[in-house]
Amino acid sequence: MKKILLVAGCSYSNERFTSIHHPELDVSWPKWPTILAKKLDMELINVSESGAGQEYIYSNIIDKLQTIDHSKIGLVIAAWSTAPRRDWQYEELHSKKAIWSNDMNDSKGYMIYWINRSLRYYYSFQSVCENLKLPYMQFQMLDLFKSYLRQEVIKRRFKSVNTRDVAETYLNAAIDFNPEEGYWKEQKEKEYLAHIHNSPYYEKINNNFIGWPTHSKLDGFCVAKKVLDPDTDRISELDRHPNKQGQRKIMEFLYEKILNSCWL
Amino acid sequence: MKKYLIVAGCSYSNERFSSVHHPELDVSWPKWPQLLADRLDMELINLSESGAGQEYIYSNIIDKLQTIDHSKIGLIIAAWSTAPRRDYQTESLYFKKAIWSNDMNDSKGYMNYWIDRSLRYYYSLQTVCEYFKLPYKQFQMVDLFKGYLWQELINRRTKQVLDNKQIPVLNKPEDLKVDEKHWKEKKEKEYLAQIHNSPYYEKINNNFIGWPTDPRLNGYSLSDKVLENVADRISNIDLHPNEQGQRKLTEFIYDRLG
Repeated sequence: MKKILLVAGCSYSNERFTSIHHPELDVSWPKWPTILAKKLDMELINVSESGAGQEYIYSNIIDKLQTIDHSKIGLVIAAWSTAPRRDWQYEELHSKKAIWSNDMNDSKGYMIYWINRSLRYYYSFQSVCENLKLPYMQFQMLDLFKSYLRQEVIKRRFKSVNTRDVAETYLNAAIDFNPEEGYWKEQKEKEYLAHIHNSPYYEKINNNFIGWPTHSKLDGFCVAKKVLDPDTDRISELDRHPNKQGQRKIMEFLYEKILNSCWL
Repeated sequence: MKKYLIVAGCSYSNERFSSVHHPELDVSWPKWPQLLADRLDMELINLSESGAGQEYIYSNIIDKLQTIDHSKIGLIIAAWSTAPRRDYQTESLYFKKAIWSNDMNDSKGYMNYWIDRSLRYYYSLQTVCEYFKLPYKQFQMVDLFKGYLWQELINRRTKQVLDNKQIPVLNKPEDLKVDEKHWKEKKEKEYLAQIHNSPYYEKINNNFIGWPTDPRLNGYSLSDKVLENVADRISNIDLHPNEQGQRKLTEFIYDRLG
């Protein structure tokens, strides 16, 4: 009988992903969890959801672990999302079931808190899997704070222009930022990276975290940035989700890490 | 050298507690964490904070565990708070430090989610302590949802009284109208079923004193179990434990440390 590959992540890992920017586009290509499960000859349980943050990912993994015979688990993977996301459950009126929902930015707190919260989820996930002696890996699929900083700069531009009638602003490359914006972004990045580096969890996250401590300036990486070519592996300039080739590349990268590990 | 007693909880466990209802009252009597530390001959690290919810309690315990030599830990106690509370950190502009803050009711979600979230924190704390083989106890200090239901009933009455002249005081079953009583009972049943049917129900171990936190499930929350309503509380509007109440909590916990 096949063992179970249990995965939780955000839209990058969601088999039912649809493109907001290109709703007409057929994006039904297999996502990395499905291809990886085939390659590992495991049965996939993929609880990933678009928009999901760390609470969703952690909660859905540990909830699922309560209902599965642990001897049947082949590998557990947490593909962490951006730090500011907020997850919660509401009651669906018709079915009376608890449905997960999320906000892109938590209305409470600030980036340092969101980073702290993320680190606690990493550590808690690690502790649960270690305690239950389950094979596991975790990684930051997306950068913890890059998109938030970009979003903040866009907000500032809108505020300074003081009109909503401005064409959508795209800030994807360093050259898109003016010097003042670039300086602000750099300062913030330094602050956030120092925070990760000085965290009590910095030395406590073990080698099962691929790319720890998640940022190249700290000698780590997030998987999407490490693996995906910005020109050929993303859906478009607007939609930065991985295309078919991108999904395959992520899978191959993870597969190689798994082969070189003692997790299986 | 003395071992550490690490405690995190809400206002019931906060050494710096002050009464919102009776700001003039001297409430500087020793609280149960200090009394228990004295009794156990341990050095106290009390991280409790008024208004704290489960995220604060869990986060502060596991943060502290990263900075302490584990061989020096004598006991860890989580004294859990009500389910709906929301904790988060804000930046103190003066100190440039992250400061914890909280809301009494999370603006997102609903009770079933808040209960699930609480159960995940119980399980996570249990797991971390078991993994590191650290001595620990946990318990529900205040009822998970009782305060929320009373507050909802008050909100309903306040909405009905359009001129909003008088905010009703509701904290006794005999104060409730028939439909209010019926609504409260229905909600309680729903929340208890949520706990009972949770995948964590069977996973929380005996280190949780009073699990599964409600008498109708053969558990209890500590303050309801231990404290007399009149003799052990500050007043009928401030239900925090008075000096005698704090002593009683200490005795009760001490007797269950095994």
